[in-house]
Amino acid sequence: MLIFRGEKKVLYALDENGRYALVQTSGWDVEQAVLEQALDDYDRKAEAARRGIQKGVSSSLEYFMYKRRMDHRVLAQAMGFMGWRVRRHLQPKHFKKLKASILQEYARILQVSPDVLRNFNGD
Amino acid sequence: MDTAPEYVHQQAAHCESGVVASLLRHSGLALSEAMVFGLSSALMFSYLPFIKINGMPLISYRNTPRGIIKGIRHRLGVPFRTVTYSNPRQAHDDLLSLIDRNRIVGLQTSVYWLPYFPPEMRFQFNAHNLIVYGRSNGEWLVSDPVFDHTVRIKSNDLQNARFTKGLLAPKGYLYYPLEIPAAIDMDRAIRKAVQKTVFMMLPSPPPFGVRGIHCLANRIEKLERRSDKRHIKLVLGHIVRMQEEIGTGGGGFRYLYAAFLQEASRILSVAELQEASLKMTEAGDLWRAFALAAVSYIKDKGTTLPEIADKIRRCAEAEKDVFTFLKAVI
Repeated sequence: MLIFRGEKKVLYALDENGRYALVQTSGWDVEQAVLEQALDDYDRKAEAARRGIQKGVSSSLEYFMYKRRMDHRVLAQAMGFMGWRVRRHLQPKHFKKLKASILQEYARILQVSPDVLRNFNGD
Repeated sequence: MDTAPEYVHQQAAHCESGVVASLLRHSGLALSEAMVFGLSSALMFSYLPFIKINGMPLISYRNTPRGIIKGIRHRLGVPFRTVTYSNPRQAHDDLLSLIDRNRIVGLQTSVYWLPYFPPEMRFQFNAHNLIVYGRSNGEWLVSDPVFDHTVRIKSNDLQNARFTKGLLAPKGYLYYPLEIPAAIDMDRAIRKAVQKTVFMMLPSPPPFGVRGIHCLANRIEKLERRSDKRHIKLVLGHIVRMQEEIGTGGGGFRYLYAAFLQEASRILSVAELQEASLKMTEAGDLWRAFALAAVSYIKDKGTTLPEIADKIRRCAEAEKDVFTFLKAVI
């Protein structure tokens, strides 16, 4: 199955004698469907943020936040900030004024280089 | 210096029960993963809409993270050393010295920072457990119970995974059993563990236990008032992910618990426990039927919210039935 990239997981299932045993599986389509749904939602938000950057209403922080499957609450927790602070940084005018050390920490958590995070213009 | 003691990797359905089973086995106490799960009374249901994960309500089919370690420590009297750290540097040095003394240790980590996971799986989930069993060429040798093979991780990645902040932050949590008691009264331990699970599931006030499952059903029915259909679908998808994705063994741990009841039936020679195991399997099947119905709704295939809520109520009824039965036989 696509989502496991060839990896297999195990779970307990009954065998033909009615005994529980560990069996390997590559997942069932219900898992695939709900994971894809969640990923699609983040992709949609990231795409909206990318267009927002070009229009000057979103910061690149918003794009990478959704790209890494976080919302402002999760990113705030990971940064040790209050939620409103991250929301402020999602606005281009506040994002531009970020201290280098804070930008660096955002970049570490979002796993991009600080230069890319600062200069990403949506292209 | 490289170290890699004689350690046999074993894949497991759930990370914490898998890690604890492997740690115990390595120390000389061979217990199946299902046994570890059951003995620590890990089966549970909680629905906490006021705690949000990525904007979605917290829903859990087991007890709180670290509960399996604590449960085994308490139930079997196996002393565990458990440490959290405020200083990442010290956590690293401690791990190094333990590994060089041929200890294998369990660690709590964030999936987001584990590069060997498929990229689609790497969400900010901070309560994933794994074992470090050695080191080689500056990398840690890792036995991650949800994989069928061992993996390696760079020191820096593991540090990030152990010291991520946020909900359920690991704070470098490290644990291993110190010694295995000479005698363990398995009969008594199993009975006590089942009694505790019955107590957690039956009389617990909502939103916990069987009553919590009803809360979830009511909540789903009320979703109909919302105009934003995308949101409704995301909530349903989120519940199914919590129930079925990596780490529950399917059916929200119900099959794992059914496997425990079956093993318990053999150990205690109590035939009714096998019957309870079958009932538990049916509960797992009902949870899966709910998952199917939810996906059918997500894909606009004509399933309605009251139908889905009804499926969940049937799970609640089935579980009430199992635990009432268990209460009588144990």
